[in-house]
Amino acid sequence: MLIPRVLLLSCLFCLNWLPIFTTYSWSTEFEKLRPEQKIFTAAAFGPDKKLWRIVPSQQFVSVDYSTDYGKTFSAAVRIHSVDQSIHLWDENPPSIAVDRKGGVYVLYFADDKQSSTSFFSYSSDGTQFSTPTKISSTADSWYHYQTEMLLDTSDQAHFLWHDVRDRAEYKKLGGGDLSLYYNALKMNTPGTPPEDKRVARNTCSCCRTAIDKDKDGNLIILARFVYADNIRDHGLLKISPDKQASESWRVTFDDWQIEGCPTHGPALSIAQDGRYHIAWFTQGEKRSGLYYAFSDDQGKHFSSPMQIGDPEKLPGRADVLALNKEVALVWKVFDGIKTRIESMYSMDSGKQWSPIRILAESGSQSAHPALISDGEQIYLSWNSLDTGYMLVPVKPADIK
Amino acid sequence: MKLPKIIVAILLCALQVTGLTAHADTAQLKPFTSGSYRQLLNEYTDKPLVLMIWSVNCTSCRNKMPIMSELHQRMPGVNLIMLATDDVSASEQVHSILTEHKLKQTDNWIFADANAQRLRHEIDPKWYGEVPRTYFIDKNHQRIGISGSIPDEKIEALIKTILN
Repeated sequence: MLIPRVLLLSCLFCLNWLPIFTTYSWSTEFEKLRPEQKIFTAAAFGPDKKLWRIVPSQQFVSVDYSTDYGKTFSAAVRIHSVDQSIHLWDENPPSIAVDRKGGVYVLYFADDKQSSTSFFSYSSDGTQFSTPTKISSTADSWYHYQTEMLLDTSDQAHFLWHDVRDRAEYKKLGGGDLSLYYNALKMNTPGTPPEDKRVARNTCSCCRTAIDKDKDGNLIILARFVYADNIRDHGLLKISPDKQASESWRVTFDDWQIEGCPTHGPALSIAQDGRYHIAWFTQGEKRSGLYYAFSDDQGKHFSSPMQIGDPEKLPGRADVLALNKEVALVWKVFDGIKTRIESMYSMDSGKQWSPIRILAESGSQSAHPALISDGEQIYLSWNSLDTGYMLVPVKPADIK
Repeated sequence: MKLPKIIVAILLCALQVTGLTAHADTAQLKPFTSGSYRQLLNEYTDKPLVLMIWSVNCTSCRNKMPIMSELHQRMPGVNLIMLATDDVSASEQVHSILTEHKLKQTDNWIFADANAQRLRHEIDPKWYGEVPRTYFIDKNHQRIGISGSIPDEKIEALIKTILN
């Protein structure tokens, strides 16, 4: 029996091609539906205000730069000549940092012996990158992910990640928590790198952490922890310049009791004057929504939480960045059709805020919003499939 | 008359989608795309159902799978739908976790639209994406949605409520 191709096609169309995969080899068909990796860009300014950017594809990551604030970009330089299965997602984005001499540091995730393994690569000038190396010392045997990279003022790169290697310890608990591991590297320093070490326990397994450095050279980490009775609120911890980690202490008290995965990490920025600015999401007993607060005593006490955005629009995925006394907040809302990035701006260290402004919108898949600065202004760095990469100044023109 | 294999497949799938045949014995994973939630409700018109939304990295989700599997077998009439929010690159993991927990024969789906936010919104505009998220939906499709792990006895009680 001969069935005209057009009939066959319309048949397929009517069925929305959806159930076909249930009969045929779904692994091959699903491969075509793998999320686009290219929207998970990351960007950072160099000391010369050149904007460096990671550009992922399904098989490799590249780096390019812009000298006109994102209007045009240079030819991209591929990091690694061997194809990999790049594995990023919105709560697991890559990182890029540029040191005082223009050295470029890149962190990304690719499936290896373990899924979404962290890889690091360095270039002294952005023209040629080192062969990527794995960050975790047990990368081949234990799943690890959501690695954050931070470059300090002495050009030392710090790495912090979620690691399941202590799984046996957590078995007796409800589950859903794990350890944070840490390491630091200094380029062009001879000798073997230091061993990575555990710096925190009972961290919520699915929420990315936030990291910044304080005035005294300590690393400050804000993470969602699992407290008694499965309360998933936030805590801070400090890693001193000699790599000693403090105990963590709780800083949000919303009492979000959930044995499950919020998949919604916090944001942290420490201003030059030492004020800590934090933003976080909760659905706690005491408060629910997206919040902001600041602290003037190294995180011991925080201001009363200020709710961010219109709760009806389900605001989430906030980022915060302080530049001296100016502070920017951005977050994501979705109305069923459009994703929008909204923002507020403060000129007085977070006491008063501008009205909400929409900075960008998309009708397609998008990454979480990120804030970056060239030292003079704060920018939204964001990417979505239909708009492409965007660099948008956050400060309203009429603010004083 | 010998029909080409592809047409047989389409017809079988069409029957399956309209709920006219029982689900096959082999583990199946359907791509959940825009419109799939509506399609699910249509497929289960006048029937109560439990929709458990989970993810491969969610230990709490996996911890609830034994009870879901047991209740599915012990309480006939429970239409159990397992929906993984992982992207399709995790299909094989999803498949093996479901098989391990004897959940091969439930109605199994995986998020398969790059814009996961849209899929979540179609299911529930008030859901932020935390998992496990379980919906107990009665035959009139009135529903209760609960985030996080639910005690076993409460799951059973909620299922009894939607069955009555």
